[in-house]
Amino acid sequence: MDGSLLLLLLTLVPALFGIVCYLVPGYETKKYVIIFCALVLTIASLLILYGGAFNLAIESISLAGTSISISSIILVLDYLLLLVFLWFGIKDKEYKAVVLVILQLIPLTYFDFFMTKSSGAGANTFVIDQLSIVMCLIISIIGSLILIYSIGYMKGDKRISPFFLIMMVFLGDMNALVFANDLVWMFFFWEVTTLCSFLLIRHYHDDISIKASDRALWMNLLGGVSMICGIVLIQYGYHTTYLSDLIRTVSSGGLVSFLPLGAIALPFALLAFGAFTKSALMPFNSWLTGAMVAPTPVSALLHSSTMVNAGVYLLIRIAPLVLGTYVSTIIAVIGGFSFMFCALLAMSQTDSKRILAYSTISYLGLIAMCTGINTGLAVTAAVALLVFHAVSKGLLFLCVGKVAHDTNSRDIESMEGLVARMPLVAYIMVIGLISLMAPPFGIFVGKWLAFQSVSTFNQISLSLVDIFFIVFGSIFSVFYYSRWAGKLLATKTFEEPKREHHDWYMELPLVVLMLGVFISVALTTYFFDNLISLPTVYGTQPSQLVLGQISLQSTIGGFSPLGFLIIFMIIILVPWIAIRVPKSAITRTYSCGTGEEPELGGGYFQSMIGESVIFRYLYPIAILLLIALFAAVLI
Amino acid sequence: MTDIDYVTTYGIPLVLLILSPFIGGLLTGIDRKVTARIQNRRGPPIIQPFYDTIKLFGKEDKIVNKTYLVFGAAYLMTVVFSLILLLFRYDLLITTFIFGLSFIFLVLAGYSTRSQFGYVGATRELMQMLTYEPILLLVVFLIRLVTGSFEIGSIYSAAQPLLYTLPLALLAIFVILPIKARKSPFDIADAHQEIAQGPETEYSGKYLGLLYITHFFELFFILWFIGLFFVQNIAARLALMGIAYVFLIVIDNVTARLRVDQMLKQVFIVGMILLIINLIYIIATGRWIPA
Repeated sequence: MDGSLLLLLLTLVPALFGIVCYLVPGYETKKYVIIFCALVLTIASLLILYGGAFNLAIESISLAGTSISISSIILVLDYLLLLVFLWFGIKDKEYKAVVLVILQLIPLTYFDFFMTKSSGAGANTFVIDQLSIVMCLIISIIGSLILIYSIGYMKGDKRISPFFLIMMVFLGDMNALVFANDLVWMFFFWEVTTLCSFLLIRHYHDDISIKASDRALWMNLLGGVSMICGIVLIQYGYHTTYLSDLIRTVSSGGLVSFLPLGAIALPFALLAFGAFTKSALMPFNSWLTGAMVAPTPVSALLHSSTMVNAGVYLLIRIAPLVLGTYVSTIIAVIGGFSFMFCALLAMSQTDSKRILAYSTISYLGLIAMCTGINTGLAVTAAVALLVFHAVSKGLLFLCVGKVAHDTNSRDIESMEGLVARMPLVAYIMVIGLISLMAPPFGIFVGKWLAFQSVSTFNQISLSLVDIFFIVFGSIFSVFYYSRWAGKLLATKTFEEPKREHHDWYMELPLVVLMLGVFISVALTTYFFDNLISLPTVYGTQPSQLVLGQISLQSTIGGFSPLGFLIIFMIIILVPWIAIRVPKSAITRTYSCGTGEEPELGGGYFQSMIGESVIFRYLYPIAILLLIALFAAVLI
Repeated sequence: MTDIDYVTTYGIPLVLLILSPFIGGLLTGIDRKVTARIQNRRGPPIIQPFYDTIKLFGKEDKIVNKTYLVFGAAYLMTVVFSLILLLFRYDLLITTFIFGLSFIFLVLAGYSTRSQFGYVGATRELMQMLTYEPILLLVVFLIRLVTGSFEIGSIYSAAQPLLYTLPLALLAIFVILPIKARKSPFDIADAHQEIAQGPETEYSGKYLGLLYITHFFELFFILWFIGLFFVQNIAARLALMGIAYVFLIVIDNVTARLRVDQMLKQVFIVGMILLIINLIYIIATGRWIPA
């Protein structure tokens, strides 16, 4: 199939579907538009996977006989976008956002009108490589499932039309972001994700959501400022803004600059800063936890398939460019810091969505840490974690949404014994929770690779602290996930099971994603073989890890995801089938003869590790680390 | 090595695997005898644990629900699986994680009974896991540093026994040993006088018997893991395992149970100091193997 057609299907067509969906009347009609859009996205992404990597040089589009260059369209849209932000900033009296918009306007104008740019004729404006394909699959497939889920979830909502419009534009835009090769274009798509998430967070238009969305806005705009400055510096230093050219220029050491030699990494430090805001790593975590006020499909979309992934995607892209610099080391420390402490914070939470939010930040931190460690093994781990995390986290958010939709509660204390009340959703949720912590599931494969890569180093440096981050972060995540899974399973002995209310629009995506959890693990070796390809600077390829079709073997350890998955299934399913419980044997739980079943709960240690207690210490450290990121440039 | 030595690669591990529950059971019996003698009692015969276990299989079942039985069985199978990985010299990191998975199953079993003792026990079990897993994983990391690989095989092919390079890491393992063996002062999750065996409260009959067998396997796993610190000499290795076990019994008898927070603080502080000193030692003396 023609590459440019596929590109169109994945980027512009969802937006067009969104507009159609906005215009057509009636929920029934909208429903079919949404389903059709989801199908188109899924099929197009699978076709991209089937077709493999390719490059495209589309610089202009012909419209009614006249050819307009995309760059100039994007230029106009860039300014429009900033004006929209400005308008919202003034309307909400969020002056931080206003200042940041103006700060963006200055470098953007300088870049667009005062910098001499090489014509770059014939350059590949879209590079669809393995990483883009993987990202596109995550965005399109998980995004489509979330769209279908929303049909059930948003039924009866007042603002359905704009909701679906923004959701679909968001998906198309994310696809464009991962395909774009020009950093300037990417910057535009980046800002569009900011706008979409801003609008989606304020979906309910009440005070809390408006406040949360404003916070998301200014934090992401801060990242935008940093990014555009980085792009200006890159253009200044390397005379190109194409990622594919940049890799060549940087590895051949072609920086022309009056700055000290270390400043070679400065633009990338700025880009990394932008990535941190988008991925909500500490100290920017509050926008993502605040975003929980949005409808659950939005949270699912932000956390698993779009928004936050854009940040770590950019980090993976720039990783080869900062190879061996201190910036890279600091990125690892910042990521590891978020991994460990957000996991700790998640332990103190009782709200299921907040737990998931903190755990998302924590895993994004892990991915960032892997990109910072910056060896072939670590970057492989980063890509693998990105994929597996998206599947599991999407699944969990959708589960939580379904439970909240049916029971009106997001508190995990009230989810006690849910397997008796909503067996399908609750068991899927337990699988989702186990898949985020235990071997042999995908996250574990990623963590295992990450553990290997942090313990592989040639010289003693600051990266030694990463080992502590990963050890403690993993244990903390095991803690809160097992407690939650245990809550779900804790049924009362003589409780009559209630009939579950089924809504297949919401449950079908759950089942698909649950199967996805298993399939993605089973296909790990295939995935490593064919879908991750690293830049040549790393000297290794993930396919070298694959040993004899089913197992992974690095120089320092081996593991077989598929083999362990089968053993894991045996360990659970054999007792499940073999153990018979005769009705006569069932008794009440032991209660020292009191015959009572007390309320159980607690164990969140909020006085010790609650948000209000430890943020006091964490924010200053996180800000110091960010300063260190820029200080590292000078070393 | 082109031709594999079948006896040492497959034969001995297989025999050990079959023997391990019996060794574990006998050790438990010895423990009870020694403890009784220390307390000036006569004590049961050392094969009493087997009598107990066999008797349990003839008892009537009292069951709360199915879930916790499934997880209990999964707990047994995971421990056996991790022991297989350890004996057949798989990746040490994976082995440690799988052994950790067995505790996750026990915790889930404890929670899913929805009994007050099960709940408290499971939470405490998690706290214990929070305490010992970091230490254990860091020890594995140190082993990787001095042997150059996570493969257990590389411990065997190393020039020096681990004991010479990682003496303090071994001490750190001794610190967490009572947690893993469910012995005083860290028998916090079981705490039978207090919360009636914690996550295991609701097990009865043959399912409790299975848990007993699991503990036999577990004990053997722990001691074998300690044995890895001196694989070059079989006598030294056995002596090391013996010392660890005697240490366990003595500590069990001379200490009282701690609270969870006390355990967390004390083990973290002592364990981390030991590990960090050991890390500095191997880095300073250049005994670590880079990538």
